[in-house]
Amino acid sequence: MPIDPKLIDVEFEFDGAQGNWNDEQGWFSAGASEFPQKFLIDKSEWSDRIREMEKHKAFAEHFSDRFTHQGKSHECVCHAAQQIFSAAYNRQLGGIKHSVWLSPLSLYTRLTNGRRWGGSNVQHSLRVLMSEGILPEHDGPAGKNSQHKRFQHTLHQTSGRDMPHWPTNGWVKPNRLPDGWEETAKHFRVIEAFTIPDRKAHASALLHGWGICNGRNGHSVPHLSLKKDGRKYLSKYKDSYNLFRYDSEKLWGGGYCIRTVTLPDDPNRPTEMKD
Amino acid sequence: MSKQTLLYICLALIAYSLAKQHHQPARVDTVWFVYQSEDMSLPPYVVGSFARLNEQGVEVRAIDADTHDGNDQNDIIALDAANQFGLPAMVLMSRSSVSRTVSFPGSVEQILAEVN
Repeated sequence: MPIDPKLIDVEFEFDGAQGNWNDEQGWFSAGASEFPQKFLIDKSEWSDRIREMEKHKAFAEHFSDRFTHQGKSHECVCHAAQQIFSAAYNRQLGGIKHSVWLSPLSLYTRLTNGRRWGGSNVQHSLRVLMSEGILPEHDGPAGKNSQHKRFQHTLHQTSGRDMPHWPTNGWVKPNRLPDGWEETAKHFRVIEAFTIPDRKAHASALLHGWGICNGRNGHSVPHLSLKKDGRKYLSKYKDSYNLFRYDSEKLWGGGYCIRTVTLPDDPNRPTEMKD
Repeated sequence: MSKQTLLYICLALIAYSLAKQHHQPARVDTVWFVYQSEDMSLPPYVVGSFARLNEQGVEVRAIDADTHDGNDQNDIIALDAANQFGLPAMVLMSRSSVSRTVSFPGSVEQILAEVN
């Protein structure tokens, strides 16, 4: 079934992404490594690889178990980042059974030092994800507030929307994060990320099952799989507005992908260490 | 039949059952796919086996030995077994003990056959 053209190469309006996606030096400074040459996949192989990845449900998309919705916030960078983080986390643990839902707001407010509007810098988001990590949100796969009971430190998903059942609503400055939040966030850190210097690296990362975070026009998105639509290749992203959209090759390149994140000692109690 | 005889028979049955249980190979409960990301990424069919293993109640860990050095006891046991065997390796574990270690099988079906 052909993809609706209205979902392809959508123009965005600014909703929170600052920085230059193509600034490779900036990504190195943030902690990303150069995309390994040996993992580049020639375009002649893409069709076969897509079929193989689809057959085995091996794309990052298959390890993402939810949409997030940023509402009217400027937190797109962090919504996109948590999406590709979760895909890597779940993949390491063999599926979505141990999925932990993460709070984009808990990352955003630290990136901006408590400034609510104006968005956050994309390279800075990766640096903080690698050094400090991100908090789980109150809600989880088991339902409303299920993670609030499960983890010592949680936050609501976003400041863009209020949900009546969230114990804390609205905007939160970093100094209002729950006391000792660092102890929980450190269990959800990025270990290894790569730059995405060009289109070939973009397709290759997706074909290895790694999610990519990039964007344009001030909006950041998480790419999770590669599709073939007629003769065109499209990168499928899970936008933080509850829908999938697609980018054609002309918009590929830039951003970063995540290969490895922290691995819990016990996935049933991911914030507890045995030693 | 006297009560004493009945008691002996019951005890004998319990002892037999325990002995039999002891000699049965323990069911594999966790499979670790350990590889070196420097050399390779996980083949799609290996990733494709995760859901099938989960359906059988088997936990899966996909570990890059270059970036994970082992946090807890299970982790270290699995990584040690994999490193000793040679990477990439599939480590089959049961109740925190290594049942056996093999090379990555060549298909989903072969992976499932190893576990069963």
